[in-house]
Amino acid sequence: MDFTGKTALITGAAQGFGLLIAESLAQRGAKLVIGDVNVAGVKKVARDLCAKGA
Amino acid sequence: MVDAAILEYGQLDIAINNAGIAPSELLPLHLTDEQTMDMQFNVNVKGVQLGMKHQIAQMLSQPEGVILNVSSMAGLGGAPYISSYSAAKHAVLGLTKSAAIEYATKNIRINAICPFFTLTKMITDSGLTKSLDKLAEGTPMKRLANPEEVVAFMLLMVSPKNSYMTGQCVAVDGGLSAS
Repeated sequence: MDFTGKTALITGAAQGFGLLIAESLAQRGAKLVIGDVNVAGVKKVARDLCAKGA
Repeated sequence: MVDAAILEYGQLDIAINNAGIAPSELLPLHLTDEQTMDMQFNVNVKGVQLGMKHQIAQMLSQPEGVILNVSSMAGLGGAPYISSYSAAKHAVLGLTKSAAIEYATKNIRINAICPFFTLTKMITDSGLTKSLDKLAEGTPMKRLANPEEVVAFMLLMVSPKNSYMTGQCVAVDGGLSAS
């Protein structure tokens, strides 16, 4: 599945399903906007994904 | 978050309303306090509904869009001792199906996924850990899902090729709802 050029918004992306679907979409070319009440957690996810080239 | 997507990328193709809170403890309905009811409704229902409101408003200005709401098996059937959570997750399906019909001709597909108890942090950190073995035993597969197994299907649901599926609430439950 190719998500190149797609923009995806994911809530609750600091852990669990949200984190995994964010990683899966990023690996397949999507651009992401992620949020979570756990701000520190979701910032870390954003940094990690950017480091992997997302 | 929709504004951030537009500001940064100029479009919003996919929205996944996944954020939710677990029930804090197992309690029969007559002992459930109003704070729990409000919390479940505010986060698990209004969180999704307000998200959809803004996501759909944006998607209407585009050729198409996809929304995936994360409900639960507790949204498809009764969930004893977590009635507020079950009610909230049922409400997510009501929003999903109603909106799917409202925006079907606008090329906005809206579906929900209904996982059974999955070994995510929300569940492993919740007050439900003692019940997990019993819950696993009650499923035809005799085990709970790993998060990756649920996410594999979430990916299919938002895939651009999955273009005729809308208004569906799909159980990913190891066969539980078939039994």
